[in-house]
Amino acid sequence: MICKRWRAGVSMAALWPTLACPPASAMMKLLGSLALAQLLLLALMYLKLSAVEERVEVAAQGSVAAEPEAWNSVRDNVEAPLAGAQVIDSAEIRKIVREELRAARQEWASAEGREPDSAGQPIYDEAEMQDRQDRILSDLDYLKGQDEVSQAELDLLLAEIARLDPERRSEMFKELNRAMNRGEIRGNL
Amino acid sequence: MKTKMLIVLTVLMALPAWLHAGFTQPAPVIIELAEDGLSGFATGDMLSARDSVNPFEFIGCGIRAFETAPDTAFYQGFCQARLVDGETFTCFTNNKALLDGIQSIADNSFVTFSWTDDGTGSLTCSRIGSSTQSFYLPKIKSNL
Repeated sequence: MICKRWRAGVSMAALWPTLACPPASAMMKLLGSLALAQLLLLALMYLKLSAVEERVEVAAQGSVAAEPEAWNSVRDNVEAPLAGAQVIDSAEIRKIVREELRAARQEWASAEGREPDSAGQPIYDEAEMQDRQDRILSDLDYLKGQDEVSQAELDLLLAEIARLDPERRSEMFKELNRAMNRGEIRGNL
Repeated sequence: MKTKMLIVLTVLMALPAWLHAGFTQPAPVIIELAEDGLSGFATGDMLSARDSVNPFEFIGCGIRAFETAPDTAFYQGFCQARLVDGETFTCFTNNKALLDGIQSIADNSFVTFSWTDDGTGSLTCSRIGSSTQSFYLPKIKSNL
């Protein structure tokens, strides 16, 4: 038999599934004792937490005193206002990135047989570029003589043109374009 | 009687597909040149060009990217169209906005582009556009 007064409260009903209803005054006493016990538990937890917090603070102060000077300066930076730290960091990052890019450009240029100028742009070897352009022009002549030019042949030619210095590159792309539009090179990109 | 039934059934089966065909707007390739011949434009949707009875008809654009330095590339874009054998109109571009226009072309898109001629036959793209809409799509057979 379930106490009807507790039926609505599911959890309490489960506590007294087969018991008869306790008298109203006894019930009030029970609830009062439970509330008191809860209050005592909360007070106990608060005291424990305060003690733990104190211990953590003491331990932190001790470790700071034991740290060397260098560590303290790092710590100062970490605790500096966020905005200030961001300004310094982004400037430093930009400087590093610039240096890395310059180094990468120099590395790439030397691998290609070119030296970069002060702005980091590769300086093209005039003789080499002229040789390359001459080869491209003779390739163009060869392709003009073909009945059909494959896409692969055109792509190879485009790749060669792309390796020229910007001025010659533009000139050769125009030359190729002209040949295609005149129907001298019978192929499609 | 059997033949009549067969005809009726065939018509009934074809009816839903016809009802759900939707609007279509095929755009065969058109190439037009200015009177002075120093500029022109081409338009057309890729599906109409591909399905054309004209074996020379086509239209489209593309991009080639070439590494010129670490993390740096040179982009060469092009658009081309043809209606007659041996008369292909190909324009080149390095303009970033036009290259973006080429990138936005999708399968079955309608493509439109213009060019200017520098007087030597070298064509530079001056406008590249595309439109991707249902009325350019191929009709797909449906039993719904």
